[in-house]
Amino acid sequence: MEDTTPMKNQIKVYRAMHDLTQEGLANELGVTRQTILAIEKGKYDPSLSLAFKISQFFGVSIEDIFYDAE
Amino acid sequence: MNLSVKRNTFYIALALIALIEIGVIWWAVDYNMAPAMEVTTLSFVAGIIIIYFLRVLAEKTEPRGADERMDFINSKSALRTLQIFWLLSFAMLLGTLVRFVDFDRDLRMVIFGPVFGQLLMLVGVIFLFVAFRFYYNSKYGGYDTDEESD
Repeated sequence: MEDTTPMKNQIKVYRAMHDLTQEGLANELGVTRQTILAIEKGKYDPSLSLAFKISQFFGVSIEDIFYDAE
Repeated sequence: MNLSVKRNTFYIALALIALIEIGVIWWAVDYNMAPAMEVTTLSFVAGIIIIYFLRVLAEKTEPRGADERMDFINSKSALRTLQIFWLLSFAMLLGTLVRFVDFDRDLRMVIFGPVFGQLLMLVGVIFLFVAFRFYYNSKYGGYDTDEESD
């Protein structure tokens, strides 16, 4: 069975609101820039703990950042 | 001097060094005179040392377990590599068994010979895989019960 469709997200928007680069956000979260890029492009779904880290970093709930495309 | 080695570069270097080692052993067997044995030993030791330093650099450049996406990619790559390796090895060994083993001569030599042994080992890999699936399923709560299981 193929992987499920990745979720959509607003990371790019929140990043722009906080004036952060992908590299900057990656450093804050302890992941690589490629991981942030892959999540933003919808090619990789982050783990629950990383999703929490992202939402906590931006001070919003997970649902504000991640949502189902369908 | 700040040297950096990415994981992919490390694995490619590892494969190239292994290839060179095979070449050296091939040459040594073919040459079959002094200093073939010394050259083989030296190249083997040099290969191990180079791999060790490359590994240290790769660990510095891309630490293991530092990024969940890389762990995910590694797991997927490893499983797919195992699947393809298993299929290729099984097909190759079956071909070897059919083409080169003399079944008329002595059946015990076939059954206890290296080719048959390797085929059995490949079957063993599947059992090992299933055993690990049981182990990790148990470790990550696959057999736990709660009120809904009754």
